[in-house]
Amino acid sequence: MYKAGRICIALLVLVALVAVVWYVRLGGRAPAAETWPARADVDARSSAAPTTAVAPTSWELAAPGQAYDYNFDLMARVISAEAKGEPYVGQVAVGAVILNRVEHPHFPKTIPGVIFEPDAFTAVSQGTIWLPPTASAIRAAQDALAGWDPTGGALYYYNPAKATNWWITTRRFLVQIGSHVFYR
Amino acid sequence: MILLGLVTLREHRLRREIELRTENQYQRAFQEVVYHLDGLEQELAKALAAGSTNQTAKAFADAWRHSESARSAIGQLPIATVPLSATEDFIGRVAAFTYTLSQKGASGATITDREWNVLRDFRRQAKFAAEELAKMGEDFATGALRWTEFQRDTVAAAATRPERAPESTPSNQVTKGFKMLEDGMTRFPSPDLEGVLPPPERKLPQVPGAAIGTDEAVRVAVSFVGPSVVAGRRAGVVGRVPSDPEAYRIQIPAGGGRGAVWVDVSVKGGRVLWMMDETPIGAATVAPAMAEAIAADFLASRGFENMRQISRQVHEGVAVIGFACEQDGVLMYPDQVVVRVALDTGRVDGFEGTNYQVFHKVRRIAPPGVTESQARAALNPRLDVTASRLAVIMDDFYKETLVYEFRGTLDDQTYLVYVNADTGEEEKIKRVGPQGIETV
Repeated sequence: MYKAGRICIALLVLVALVAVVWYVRLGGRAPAAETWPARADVDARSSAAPTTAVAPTSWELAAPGQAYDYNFDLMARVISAEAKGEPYVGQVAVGAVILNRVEHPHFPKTIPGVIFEPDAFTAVSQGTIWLPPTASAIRAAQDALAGWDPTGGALYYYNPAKATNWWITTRRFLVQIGSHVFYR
Repeated sequence: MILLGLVTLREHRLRREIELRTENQYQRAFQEVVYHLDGLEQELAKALAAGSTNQTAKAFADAWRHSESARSAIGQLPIATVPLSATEDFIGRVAAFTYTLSQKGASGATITDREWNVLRDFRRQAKFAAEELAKMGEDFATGALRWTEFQRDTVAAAATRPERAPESTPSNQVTKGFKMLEDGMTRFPSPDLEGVLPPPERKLPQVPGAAIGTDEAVRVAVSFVGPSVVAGRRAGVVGRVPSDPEAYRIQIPAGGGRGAVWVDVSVKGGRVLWMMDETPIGAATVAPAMAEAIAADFLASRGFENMRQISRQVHEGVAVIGFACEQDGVLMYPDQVVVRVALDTGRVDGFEGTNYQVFHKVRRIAPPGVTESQARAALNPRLDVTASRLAVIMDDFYKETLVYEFRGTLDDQTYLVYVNADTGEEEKIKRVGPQGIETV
């Protein structure tokens, strides 16, 4: 009787240990499934925004219908994750850096190419770009695409309060916006 | 205990599997870089020897494809902090050059002696790059180093200033390999591409006019934003941005329920390049069509004359409306501004006019060399034309061209087709998508 009880306890402890290991292994994934909305919701939210109306002249400005614009959505996600808590102009600045890279011969030629370059953006390395973008990040993406560039042509930026980056400081300093320092 | 051991073992194996998958992707990207540089070298060699326009055009098209693929594969390698600018410059330029030549070939032009010489230099350079990379590939293939290890080491190294002489770790071997590649690439003569390709670091010209001081810049900013928005807040210069063109950055601090307003005023000429009001935006009450009128009024009140609306985007409670200047009935695409209207109260809360401020002038417009109906003959007869007008467009060299802009539909798509008003040749085609005009 006594022996059986000890075996029981030992088994319980083992099961608990396995459960702990299991939980640790799943790590970021387990809570993620609960708090992240389904992809479809997020995508609908950020792509349903463009509204089209009948324009007054024969030079109608946009064709009717709505399409999911993956470039726009990706930019909004990176801005949202990289520049949360930054001034609005600082959010537009992150979008401008992405577009400046697309234009520059040293970087991939497409928005997804630039965003998913290994180690290019912390938000990608840490997976936070898969959180739904904020409304202001969506506006900032639109403004960057429309031509606003508060960085004066930056290709790099970092947050000196959160990271040390000796390499980046070898580049040409342009401007500081909020807590981000921008370089070319 | 045994169970725990088994679980840990499983963990370890899973981790290794994932790391190996990443490693294989990096290996693939690296091998692809080498493969495409090899291919590029081969096609450039063919182009050098080819006698017919037919064969050269084919070689250029293939060389262009290889160089773009090499660039895309480089972008997949974990080398964000490895200095590779000479190699990347080379690939970017060879891509632009072979693309330009394949376009010329398509219109029947043969290559000039100068272009042939550039090609010869480029081929030698491609050969060198492919060989250097192949050498480095051996280190990875023999298992001496993994890309994932290299990634960890270089990311850590980039964070801190290198104090000591680098140790001879496998990662440093690879860094040395990349450095040898870079040094070799910079030793090649830089080919004369003036006028053939736009410079890699394209700069906008300065705004015409004399340099202004900070006080004057603040005055310009405040009068542009308007007294009702400034509302007694004290504007000041917060910095000088070395942008093209160079600008004073003026800020009106947040306060009284309003967000900060940022204004960049050009140092030369003292013109507002852009403005952004950070006041939070509430629920939309103003229709986008109304916003168009508000934006047009704003421009008129700030001295922008004869502006015609060319685009509109609406997202998350703001409308972003694009305008271009019209002169003598001709639309000037280089003279563009964008106005942002917050749809909660219908106020202008953003302006971007760098291109307008740099390029706007009263132009001498020569009468078109071909008539509208002659230009129309260049169009695809299947295109159902709904409108046409004269416009000026600008290329990568800032060269302006007078064109007929035709708007037409084909199938269920809407297009804008630009026909040169002097030669009657089709210059470019754009498609109007749900998001507005697609820039291709």
